[in-house]
Order: sequence, then C-alpha cells, then structure tokens
Amino acid sequence: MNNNTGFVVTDDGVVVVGSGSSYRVAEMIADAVATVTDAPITHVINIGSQDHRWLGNGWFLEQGAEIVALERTARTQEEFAESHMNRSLRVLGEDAMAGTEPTVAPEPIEADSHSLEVGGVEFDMMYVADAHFPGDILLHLPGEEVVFAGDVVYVERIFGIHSWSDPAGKVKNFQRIEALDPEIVVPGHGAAVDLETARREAGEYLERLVSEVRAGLEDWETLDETVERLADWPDFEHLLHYDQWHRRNVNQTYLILEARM
Amino acid sequence: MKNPHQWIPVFLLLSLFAPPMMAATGVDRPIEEILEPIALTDRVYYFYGSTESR
Repeated sequence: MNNNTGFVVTDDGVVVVGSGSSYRVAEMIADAVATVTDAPITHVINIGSQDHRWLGNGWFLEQGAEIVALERTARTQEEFAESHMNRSLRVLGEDAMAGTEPTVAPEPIEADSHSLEVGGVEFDMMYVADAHFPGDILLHLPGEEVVFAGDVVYVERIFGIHSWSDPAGKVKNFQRIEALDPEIVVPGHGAAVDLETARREAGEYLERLVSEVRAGLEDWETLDETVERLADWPDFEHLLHYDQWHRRNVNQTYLILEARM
Repeated sequence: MKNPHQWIPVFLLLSLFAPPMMAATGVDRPIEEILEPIALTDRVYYFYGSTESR
C-alpha cells in the first residue's frame, strides 16, 4: 500500500476514504481504525480507480459497510480491474493478494456530485474532470475544512502522467480545490499539507506543464523540441522521482494534448 | 581469504525474494508503520503512505 488513505470518526460510525490495495490490506486498515475507535465502519468512499484505492472494497463489503462511489469512478474500476489485478499479483505476489476480488460499489451514483451526511459530518463527493484516472473525484469535508485530493495532488514526490491521465483535467481539479479553500489537503501521496504547500508542490507544476506544452503545440514544436525545451525545471528537482518522471510527463502531456487539439 | 564472488549466487537468490517482500510490507516502509493513524482534526485521520513510485 503506497498511497494515502484516511478515515473519519462520525457520531454514527466510521467512514473510510479509500479501501486499500487488497483484501488483506483492507482488514489491516480496519485494525488500524480500531486503535482509535470502537465504532463500526459503516461506509467506504472510493475517490479513485488506481488499484490501491479500491481493491480492498470486497473485504469492507463483507463486513457490512456501504461502498460509496460515483458511477464514473466505478466504471473505470471495472475497465481497469483485470490489468490491476494482474499487475498486483505480479508485483505483490499471490499471498499478498489472497482473497482479493475486484469489487465495485453495488449501487454507484449516477451523478457528478453527491453529498452524504453521516453522524454529523458532511461529505461532498465531486467529479470535476478526469485526472490521474478517468472518474477520479475530490472529497470535501466542509465542516472539517479538509479535502481528500487523491491523485490530483502529490506532495514530496512528482506526479506520473500516464496515457490514460488527463493533465488539463488535473489542473481543473486543482483549481476547484483552491476554490474550496480548505485548511488541510490530503494528497494522494506525501504528507497532508496546507493549500499553499499543495500549490507549490503540485498545482504550480501541473499548470506550468500544461501551459508550456500547450504553447509548444501552438507553436508547431515537435515532440522532441518540446521535451528538450522543458527538460530541466530546477524549481521541481527537489521532488522525489523527478529524474524518472519529469521528461516522461512532458512527453506524455504533449501526446495527450495533441490528440485533443 | 575466500573468493568474495562466492556470495554472488546467494545475493542473486535473495534478490528473487526482495521485491515481493518489500511490496507486501508497504513498498518502502513496513505496512504497520504506514497504518499508524495521523489525526488531522478531532474526527479526521489519514495514513501516510509511501512516496515510492511503482
């Protein structure tokens, strides 16, 4: 499990945010929750579709928790289920994945936003645009002034833009987070931070990536020319995996934006 | 002194087990460490996962 997950202790039970990477990890999450409260886990909210955000759904469902997901998110989970399971089995091994069956929310919500109130806490699920995966959402807890940003925000480490990602959509998501003006942003990876830090570590990189690549496309730059022009960004070299990902991100963003022109 | 190269097969054998062991325990930290709840507010907690790229 290499992503951030979370939970919220309400007056009527616990709401878990992200079910972990496997059946076994889901149970370990529940054990960790039990070190804080004896209250039962009543809901699990899915905010994304990458393997470690939802492959633990099956365990929580067996325990009687309600899996809450937008239809967009659940659809992507179904589309990627086989490849995620194959990859997890290859990387983590059969023992680690024992009992794991890809399980999406039985009744996904056919809307781009959904609010639920559990034990005095309001949870606002909002789809803004596709991000790391299609159907990624933000989860805002207005009463707590917290946003679970999922893979719209990384802190400490650099993003990876994949062929199925939407870098421009990530920018829109980040702008929505700024409009919500939370006290705390829980990123997909890295420590929870304030909004200013999230902007410095993630928002500025995303906006610059998209605007600079778009400018290159509008100037009829070739892919190689754009990658060469944007190859070195000292402002972001401190982020972990910069050397591994930055040029790939420029490359991938060019291909994605070009395909949409 | 024995030939240090005699250990190469042993390291190779160990390396076969290293990646799955690391992954199953939380990639770069033991999962027990990752699953220590961190309070953000009176109600909200999170688990600080790994920053590994995989």
